[in-house]
Amino acid sequence: MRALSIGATGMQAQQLNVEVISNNIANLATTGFKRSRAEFQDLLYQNMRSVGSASSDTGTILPSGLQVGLGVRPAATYRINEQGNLTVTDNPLDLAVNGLGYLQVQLPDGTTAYTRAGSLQLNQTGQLVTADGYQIIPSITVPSTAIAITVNASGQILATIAGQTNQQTLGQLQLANFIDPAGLDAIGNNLLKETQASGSPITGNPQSTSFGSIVQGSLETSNVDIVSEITNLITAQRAYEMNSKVINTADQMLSTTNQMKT
Amino acid sequence: MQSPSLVLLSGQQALQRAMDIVANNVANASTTGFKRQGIEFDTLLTPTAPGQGLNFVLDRATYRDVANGPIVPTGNQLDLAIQGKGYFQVQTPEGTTAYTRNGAFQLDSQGRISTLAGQPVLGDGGQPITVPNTVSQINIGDDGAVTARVDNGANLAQLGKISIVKFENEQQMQPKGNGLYGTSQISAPAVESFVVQGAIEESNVQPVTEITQMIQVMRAYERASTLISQENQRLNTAITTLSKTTF
Repeated sequence: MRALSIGATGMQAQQLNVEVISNNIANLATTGFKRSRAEFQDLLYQNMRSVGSASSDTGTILPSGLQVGLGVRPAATYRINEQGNLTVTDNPLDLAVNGLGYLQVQLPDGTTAYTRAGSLQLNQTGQLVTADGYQIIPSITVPSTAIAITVNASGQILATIAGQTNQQTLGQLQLANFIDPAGLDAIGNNLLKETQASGSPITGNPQSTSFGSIVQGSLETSNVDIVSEITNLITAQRAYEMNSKVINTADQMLSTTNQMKT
Repeated sequence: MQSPSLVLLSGQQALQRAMDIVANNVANASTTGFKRQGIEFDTLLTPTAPGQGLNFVLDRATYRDVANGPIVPTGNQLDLAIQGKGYFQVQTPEGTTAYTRNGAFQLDSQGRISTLAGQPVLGDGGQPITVPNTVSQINIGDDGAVTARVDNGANLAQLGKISIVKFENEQQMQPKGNGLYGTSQISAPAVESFVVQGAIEESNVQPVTEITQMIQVMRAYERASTLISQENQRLNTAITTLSKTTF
């Protein structure tokens, strides 16, 4: 009886669905988080009678066949890169990207990662770093004499130095973008890495070509919509129950067979 | 003498298959673009004596319920749904064309609009649609026309048109799994249907229908089992009684 294993594939799929939804809900308050969606596909079909095969010598053909599908499988979980809301934090080193583009981060192993979470800080030498202490590319150092830092929409970083009238330019932030940002590999800690599917990064200044602008003193919240996640969770749970009902029914049918008096 | 049992057995075999179909529908309740299947039963008449015959059950065919599923917004600019009849065209790795209702698309590493399995979606003229990497926003119109704002310019660039095709006989289309269908029929452009951007078509499985179907199948199966047992008992009684009267 295939129904047993078909029901099992359905339960596994819904389990993954619940896992993806719960991760979205868990990251409701994660800066720069992009929600994911689980995508499913039907499995192969067994052809008992092939559609379109000849049903007589006079050339009549079967208008429909007998095809039994074998269940479902998860096809992908993909990130939905909708812009999150911007919340004002008034912290001068909180930078939100409004539009396309990722901040570039230098990982301790020398490779580059990408992030939308712009809650930056200064390390002991005055360099701009992420909350994990990883340096931002290109590297920017803020002198200890700076009393205020301004980041404008096009990513220029300016500092007001004590005793000076003119602001001093410290550097220029650069953003990276990809042909298919959904193809980036999430490595946790709000970081993403380049893959073959995402394509190579295209870097540029904020506000130039297709890049978004920088908003100082704000952070991008996660783009998780709690109401739709809860609705999805309910649907997934009910679908899980229904699949277990299928297994139950198939089991009952087999049990009926076993109880036949001989 | 055995024929009542055999007729019931044919019924049970067909019901098992019906249960498999229901199970597959339920398992695919969350599969984008999935169409539920139904099963047709038929009788196979076997003449035993003049004017008499036995009706065996034959599961003749499965059919696809091609009704539209609900269209649900996802917020992803490359998620497309077809309102009305029609299919997206997809290029398979073997170079053939497959058809799908699942419009959850993405860009592949070459910037082509493709399915989640990486198969390029074909536009009018049978060519994939390539999106340049300087695009900030992709718009897909009702008719499938893809336009994009390139380099933050004022004008929208035409990138191509996703083609939607329909067929004379949708039942003749072979499901290949992964939401894809194959057919040798000649396609015609589905002009009366339109594309919805930022949404997907959910599976058209109706939970109530499937569960009711499942209960019916299970009860019919139980009835057949009971009848087989009773028929067995009847034969048993007949043998015992008849053997007693003979001797």
